[in-house]
Amino acid sequence: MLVDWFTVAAQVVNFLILVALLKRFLYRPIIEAMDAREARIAARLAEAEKNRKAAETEHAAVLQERRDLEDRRQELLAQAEKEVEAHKQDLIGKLHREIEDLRARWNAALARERDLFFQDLRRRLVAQVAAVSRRAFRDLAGLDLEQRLLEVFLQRLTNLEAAARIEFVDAAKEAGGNVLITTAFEMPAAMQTRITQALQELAGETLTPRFESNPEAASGIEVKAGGCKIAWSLDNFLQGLEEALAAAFAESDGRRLA
Amino acid sequence: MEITLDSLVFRRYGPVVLNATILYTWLVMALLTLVSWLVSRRLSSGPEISRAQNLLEVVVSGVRDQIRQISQEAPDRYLPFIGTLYLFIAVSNLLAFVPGYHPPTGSLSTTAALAGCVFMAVPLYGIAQRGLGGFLGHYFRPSVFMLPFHIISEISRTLALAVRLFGNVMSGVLLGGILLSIAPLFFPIILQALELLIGQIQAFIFAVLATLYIASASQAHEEGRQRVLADSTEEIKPNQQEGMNA
Repeated sequence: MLVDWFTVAAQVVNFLILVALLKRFLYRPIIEAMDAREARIAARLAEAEKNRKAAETEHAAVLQERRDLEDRRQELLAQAEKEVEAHKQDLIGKLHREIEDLRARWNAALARERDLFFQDLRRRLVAQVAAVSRRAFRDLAGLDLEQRLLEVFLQRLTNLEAAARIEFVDAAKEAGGNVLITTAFEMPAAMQTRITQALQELAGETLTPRFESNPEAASGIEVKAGGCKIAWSLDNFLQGLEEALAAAFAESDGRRLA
Repeated sequence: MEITLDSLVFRRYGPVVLNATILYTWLVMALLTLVSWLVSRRLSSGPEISRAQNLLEVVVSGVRDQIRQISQEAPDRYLPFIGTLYLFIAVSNLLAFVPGYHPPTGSLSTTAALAGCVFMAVPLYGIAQRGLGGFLGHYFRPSVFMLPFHIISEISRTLALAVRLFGNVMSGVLLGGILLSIAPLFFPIILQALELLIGQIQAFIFAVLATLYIASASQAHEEGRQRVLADSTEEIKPNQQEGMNA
């Protein structure tokens, strides 16, 4: 007999016991452990998803912040460029003004130097012309230049206009007859006498002339009574020459500056 | 040569017999329970798990997946029964390489007992699932004249289950013994390796057929299939199943 019914019954019982044992010791704990693991993994995935979303939000915020910063930077840069440009224009303006100022001062200094130069030149010219004239007078006429100057001066005194004569006389009276006669040279006594006589004739009264020589003065003769002055010198001749020279220098300077 | 282990009796107490079939069955039961207990004592639900736990998880997951695929239902209702069938038969056959061991599945009494359990499980699961009326109605479809054929089918397939497993395992053992006497070198080893493979296949076939029988009787297939297709991995809750059945 292949089938022993007691064994069959025993095996059925054995099998049912084994089902209960394995259910208790195998299936339930294993399934619980797997379910717990799946739950943990699901929780971790949910956490990771939450973190990812938070990170994305943060990322978006950072990007926005960076864009704002970039905009702000561009704005500041533009503003700075504008300010620099304005400052540059201001500096350039100041520079132009300073240059103009310097040029004006330089021109003024140049003009002053030119004036000084012309004054010096005039003095030298006068001296030279006087010397040349003196020698020419001396060579040509055999007379001293001063002698001739005196003659001319006396001539002028004689031909003095009425208004000028009255003015001189009034001034001489106010000065108490004190008259100062200045020449560039030392006047000889004879000449002093003639001058004195001529002046007394002019004034019609006694004068007390005082003679001075001033080498710095231009060649000529000058009579001063109080605030009135009668003079004649080579300056009168040289005045035209000086003006012509000044005009020539001014034209030359204008060309150079241009 | 003994064709059945039942005749190898160690003790006899009146009608109660302690034979080799029962003894080896206890051995397999003890082994399975001990290993399960040892592993499940220190289960980890974290990412780091022991190799033994990993092995058991693979086995349990594999059995669940197979049940889910075959029955198109949530597997946990059937897992203790089907899983124990498979594990018991597989381990019984696997230990055949141990010298002196005889697989209890080589006894027709054991396979008859297992087939009888399946035979009883079919109506139990069916009634639990569909109610008595619903289950019995299954025998009268498509016509009342089909009742005898349904009953014959139930009995014959149960017999087929028992005899198939018994025949395969017993023939393997017998063939090993015969070959050992004819050609003692090499051939028995090759044949035993083949027999190990056949033993695993038989365990798989037995479990698959049991699942099919139980599932076909306990579940209106179309409903179950649609439900499982809609949610193939998630566990189906009992109240949902009741609602579907209603």
